[in-house]
Amino acid sequence: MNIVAIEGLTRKFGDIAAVDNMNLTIREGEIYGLLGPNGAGKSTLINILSGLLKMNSGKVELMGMDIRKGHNNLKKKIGVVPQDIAIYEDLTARENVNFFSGLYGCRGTELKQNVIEALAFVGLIENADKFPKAFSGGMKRRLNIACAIAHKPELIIMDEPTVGIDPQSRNHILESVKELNRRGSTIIYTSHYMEEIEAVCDRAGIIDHGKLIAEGTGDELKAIVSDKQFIIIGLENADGLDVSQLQEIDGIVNVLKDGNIIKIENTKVINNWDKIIRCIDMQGVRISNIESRTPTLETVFLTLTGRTLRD
Amino acid sequence: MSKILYLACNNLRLIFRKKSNIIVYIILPVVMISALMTITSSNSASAIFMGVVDRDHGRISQDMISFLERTGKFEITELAEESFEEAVSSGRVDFAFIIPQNFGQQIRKGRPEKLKIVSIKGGAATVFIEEYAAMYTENLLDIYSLSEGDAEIFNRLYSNQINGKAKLISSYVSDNELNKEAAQMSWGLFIILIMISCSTTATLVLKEKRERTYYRIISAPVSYREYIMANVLVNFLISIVQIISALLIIGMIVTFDSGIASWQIFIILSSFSTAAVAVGMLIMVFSDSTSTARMMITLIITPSCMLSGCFWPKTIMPKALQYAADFLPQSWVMDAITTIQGGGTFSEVGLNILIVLSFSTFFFLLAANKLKKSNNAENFI
Repeated sequence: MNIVAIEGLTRKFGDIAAVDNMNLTIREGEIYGLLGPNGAGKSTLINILSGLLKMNSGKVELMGMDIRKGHNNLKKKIGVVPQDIAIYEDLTARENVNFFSGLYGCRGTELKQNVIEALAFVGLIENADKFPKAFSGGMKRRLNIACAIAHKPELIIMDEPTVGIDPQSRNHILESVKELNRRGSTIIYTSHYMEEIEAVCDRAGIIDHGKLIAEGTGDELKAIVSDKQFIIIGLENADGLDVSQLQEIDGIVNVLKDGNIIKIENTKVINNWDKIIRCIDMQGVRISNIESRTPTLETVFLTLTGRTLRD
Repeated sequence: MSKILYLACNNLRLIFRKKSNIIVYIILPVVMISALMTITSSNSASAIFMGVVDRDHGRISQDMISFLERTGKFEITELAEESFEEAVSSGRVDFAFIIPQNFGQQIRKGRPEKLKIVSIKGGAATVFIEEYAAMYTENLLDIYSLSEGDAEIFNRLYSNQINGKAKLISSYVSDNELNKEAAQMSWGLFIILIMISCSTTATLVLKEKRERTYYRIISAPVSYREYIMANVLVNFLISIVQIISALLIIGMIVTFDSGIASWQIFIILSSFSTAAVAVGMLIMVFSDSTSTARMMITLIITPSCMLSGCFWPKTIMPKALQYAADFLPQSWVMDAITTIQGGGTFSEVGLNILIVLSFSTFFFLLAANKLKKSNNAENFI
């Protein structure tokens, strides 16, 4: 069963289409990753799914129900973990989870039980009666998650839940995502971090300029660039390097200059390494190291969009 | 409705979790109004400065002035015709009491011209002198009635009364005029405090938007309308608590007679609370940040309260500004308070209350329309 079914979804801000005629399906029980740079349309899509934004055209069904009908019934089944930490600093962790969970209609013993379970799930039960101002960034992120899951939603939307936290908290959150999925929730997970998407998601969709430009499992996405190789060249000083000369070399598809690092998308079957090295050397730029990388989601993204995720 | 109450309870918890807010929202307004009533009434306990313009210069007018002086309530200054207006406007006297030309003759004919009082302190400040003068004039008219128009009999009876041969039965009247002035100033200040409090509470919505908790609330099965209604409810509740607390303290501890019954002032101020809450909503919907809202609070509340007579009587302002004040709800509240203090009945201020409620409705509709146009939630995502 499809838990999310999007057909021809368009949302414009003025003349700019933040989401442009998008089609997307997410199956029940999946962890679906959404990849895209800033401004790609991820947040707009998430806000439409959360019921915060209206669409201009298209059709969105969540759990078999049209999003434009049964608004509140749908919202009860969704938990949203916003990108920004959205908690009350003047309420304790328990009060925060209690309040937000109560908005979904939970009351009494059920509510208390849910709050305890959610706090225990994110590892904050011992700090339940402390105020968030005493928490680290990672703890606040975990509380942010607890507030979204206490009412036991069928669909959890996580918008970059690991931004700006320490590796330990990140690992905890990634494990939590998998555990939530094992307990039956379908999860939409957006992130800038490819390794997170690869680690937790069953499938991922790549969004750019409001369009879904590719989707599939990690292996399926990497297969898109199976005929490519990616050469990473470290330079001592790339200031004097004319990238356009590299792009004229036969077999090179794309060149991206990132500080003193040159990322080259190259056709596998053409052996042109000597020409690349000579081209750089002729321009008087010294090479400090060369590396060939097998395709990752990052390279897939680079191939499909011509830019990195953090652009 | 249950969601509105649920959100309202949380708002109250958030506001009063900070103990300092109990002081700011409840204790401070109550203390300020109580202190102001006490201080202004005790400061004003000295004699009233009355200027007299005697255009008659007859025996009756002179005796009347002597009578008023003997009451011990007035410091009397004789004023020349050409200087009384200046004396009033400069505050040298609290009011000018004008005895018309041929006043003695008019009394003898039983048709006295109305005594004129010129003041910039409003009706409440002059009611006391009006009562004294009316009482004295009625005594003279009683003598006229007894004399049945005979000038000789009138003169004899009049002389007997002045020389103490006729017995004048008098009773004490309580002088509450000074309290009334103090009360007007204090309720004016209280109105300002209610407005500031309501506007500040309304801007909590902006804080929630800034801190993104609003995003989470709207993601839940809660509509924007329910969210706003909860804020309105909290706002109204807080101002009602402020009014009740002030009335309890004034009535039970300060024991101050402001010349208006507690239930009357409660209804008047409660109706005003709806307008203050609506103004707060307007400020909220027209502000895109807390700093803009603060600026608007300052720009709207202080000048409108000045214009409405919350700081001083409207009568000292030019006519054009007095007319402009009619477009402000505070003006109608101050007018209602003054009317009742001046002896008016509560039904006489019914129209004032209706007008204040109409202002509230208009402001709420304006805020709702703006919210609708700005597509509510979407603007803050």
